[in-house]
Amino acid sequence: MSDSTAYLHELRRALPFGCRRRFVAEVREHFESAAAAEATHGVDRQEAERLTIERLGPPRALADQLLTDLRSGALGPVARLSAALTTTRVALGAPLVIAVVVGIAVTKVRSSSTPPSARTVQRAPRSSVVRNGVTIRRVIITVGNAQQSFHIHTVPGGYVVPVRFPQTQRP
Amino acid sequence: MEGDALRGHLELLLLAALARDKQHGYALIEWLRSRSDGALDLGEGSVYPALRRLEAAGCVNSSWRTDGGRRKRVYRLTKRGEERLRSEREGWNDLVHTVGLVLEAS
Repeated sequence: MSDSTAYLHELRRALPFGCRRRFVAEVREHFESAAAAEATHGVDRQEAERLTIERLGPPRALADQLLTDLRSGALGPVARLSAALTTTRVALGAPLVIAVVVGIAVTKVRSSSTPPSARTVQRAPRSSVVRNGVTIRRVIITVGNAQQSFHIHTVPGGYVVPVRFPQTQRP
Repeated sequence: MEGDALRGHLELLLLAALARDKQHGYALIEWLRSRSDGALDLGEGSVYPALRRLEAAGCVNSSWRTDGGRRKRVYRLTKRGEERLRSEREGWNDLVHTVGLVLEAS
């Protein structure tokens, strides 16, 4: 990773969402212009990037200048809100993730304790058995819930064999 | 002339640079440096936030322009920017005159 890429990466991380894209694009262009200008003086790309970083200052400091302006309202109310959200995004994000995980867990527990009803239908892949030297293809369809299940064996040729199993005997 | 001495005058300098012609960030910095024979050592990182402040205040507007295959954010002075430049230029001239009077008298 080049120095400028690392710089831009850190700058992006430090900036609020609202102005990240434009600001980083401008600083990227600044690097390109500086490299082009330095190349006319025989300075290679790596050295040009080092000089540019020295003049720009640390990415955090650059981002802090912008954030200070955003928070003071110097860049308008929308930008101010964006900065405020950036500051609190970690504080907001963690509880949100926890709430989603807890919600999923509660939903699963509730669904497992609902009254029995036929709510699952599964169709097993086709299989074959050999009976008395004759190969029979069959399809097993299972309809059931947590308490009981029915397995319906259908054999091409006409059979439909419903067989009821307790939950513990499910194949 | 470095950092602290320029603080507070940076926006005036940028407005003056843009009064010449529309320019992108790096070109503005280079123009100010060459115009001052290298005496103005701008903290380059402070220029972009200053441009954003001027834009939010309605003194400049900006747009992307492709130049030589690269996209550049080009800034232009607005009517409000021209008025502010005029006002701040007068303020600066008054300050220089007043300070000059005091220094000459000492």
